[in-house]
Amino acid sequence: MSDVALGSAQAPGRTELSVEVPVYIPTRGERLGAVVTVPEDASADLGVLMMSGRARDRAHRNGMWVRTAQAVANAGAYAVRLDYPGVGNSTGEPAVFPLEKTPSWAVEDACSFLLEHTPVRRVLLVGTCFGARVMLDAAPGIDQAVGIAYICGPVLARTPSWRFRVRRRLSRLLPGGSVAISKDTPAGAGAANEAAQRREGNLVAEQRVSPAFRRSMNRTLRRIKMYFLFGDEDFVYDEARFALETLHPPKDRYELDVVPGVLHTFQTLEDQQVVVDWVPRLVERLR
Amino acid sequence: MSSRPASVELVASGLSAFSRFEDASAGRSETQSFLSTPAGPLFSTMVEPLGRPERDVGVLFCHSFAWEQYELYPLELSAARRVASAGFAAMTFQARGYNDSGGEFADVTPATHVRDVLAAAKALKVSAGVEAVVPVGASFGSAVALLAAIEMQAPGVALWNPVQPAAFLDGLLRASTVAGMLEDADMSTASADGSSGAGAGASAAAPRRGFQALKAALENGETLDVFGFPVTPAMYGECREIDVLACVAAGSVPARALEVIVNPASRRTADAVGSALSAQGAQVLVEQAEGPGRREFAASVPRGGHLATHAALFDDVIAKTLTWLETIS
Repeated sequence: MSDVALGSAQAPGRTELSVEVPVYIPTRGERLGAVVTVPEDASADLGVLMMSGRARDRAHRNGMWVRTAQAVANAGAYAVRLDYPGVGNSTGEPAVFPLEKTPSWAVEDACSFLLEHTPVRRVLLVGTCFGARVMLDAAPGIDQAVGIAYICGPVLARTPSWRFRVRRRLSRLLPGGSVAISKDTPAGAGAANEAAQRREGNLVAEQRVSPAFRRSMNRTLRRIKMYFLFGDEDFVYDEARFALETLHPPKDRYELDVVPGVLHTFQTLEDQQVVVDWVPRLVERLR
Repeated sequence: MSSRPASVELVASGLSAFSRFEDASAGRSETQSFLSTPAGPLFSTMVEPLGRPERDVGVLFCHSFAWEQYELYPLELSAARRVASAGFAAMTFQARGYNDSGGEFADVTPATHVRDVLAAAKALKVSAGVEAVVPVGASFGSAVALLAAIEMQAPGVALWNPVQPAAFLDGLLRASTVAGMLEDADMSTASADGSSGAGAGASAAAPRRGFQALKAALENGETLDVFGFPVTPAMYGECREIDVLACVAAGSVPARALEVIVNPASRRTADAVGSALSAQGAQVLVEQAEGPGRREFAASVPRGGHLATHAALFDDVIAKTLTWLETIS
């Protein structure tokens, strides 16, 4: 009937075969669903961990991570596509994870598993949207991390700071006052962000870098390089530009790739192919 | 890892020890694997009671189409786990072209869905040692489940939010049209603000097509990109040709059927299918699922909606299905 544990999956549109093994990764009393793609040269020491946007399946839209995993394996690295805790093939209660407190421990445990059961000794962390934030939060705790691919990830805080809340309240109490908008913005970016947040239905009228993002990025960039990928019409690209202008990270510690159009929803085949092509190119540079 | 030279077989063999686990407290085991079928490998998750299954039927979850499959997979796997804890061998799987199964999504049609259901059902019978399989499907998956149940002469079938394939696809195209209109309006606002990134106008350069234009395009042989999934003329044509009611009238229907109406909009179809099944001698039970998010179920499941935000609703669907399953085993 079936090979219970092993499977050979042919990459769509390709003739090469990669072995894929679905696994349950033990983690803190539960299990994470994942699929490990083994490259033809099984002695490869580079592994790529991939996570999609919040609480989405490990395969990503239209199997984008499946195709990416095959491309990564063809480029000579292990690939792991990971389910969120409580979602997909993972066990545990499903939960909605806040942006300021991501389930980064799941990535740490998945890395440990990869290091223990394969020849992998260096790890590239790849995430889209919320998954990018999870990877960023996990990276400082993973000694073997050699890079983070931050694809269309959010950067700004989604709730106003207490200072802003106080100012807003005071402004309403003062005669002739109106809702205060934080002026701590670079010229031009503030208006752009307000428009972006209105588009997204976000009620925040303040623009500030997420404290968790700031903290994680500062810790990460000490030894790990970040590779950003955005569409130039993504609202999160506006956020990223603001963050880079505000935080001034060393220019040799990050790279910023921008493609035309909207990327962050991956809602077209073309957008998905951008990622499927971009990640293995990064792998080839890191090998 | 040890210092032995690594080979693909050695590494894969070591990893395969983690393809299965037992949950003694829940009374079940779970195995992820690839089923070998003539059409290619199918990723499956088999969830079984610890020890021999107590029931003589297995339960097979038949997924929906494209984005809806993606959204509803957690519900189906959660259901498989619950029915396994109740003593049934259960399986979820992904048809060729979907996710971990690989293959080309552009090759997907209703016929390929049914083909893969039959292959998965065969594997479930062999693996679990059960006599028969009861297919369960939501939305587009309900049509697949019903067609498969007729073909394999299943003892029962469970339909969550039943829908005709043609109506389902029309709904998907309409949703695509509306989403495009909203995006265009959004980008127009951004352009008027003078905000957003460069090229705000460029995204609206290609004129959006309305619902009728999209259908005409499919009829003229064009493959459409709908929410990142290719919808082909073959898929469109087959959906238009399938009339679930006619299939019920012409085929050997299961003796027992359950319909769970989640989104009230599916009531009319459920009534029609139920009547057709009854006319063929089936014992039909119709239930209404309760819980917040009913109107968002299936084709318009909201972004971010999943087990955590629709837990009560999903629980009710599963509970009603389990109660019914216990009457036919």
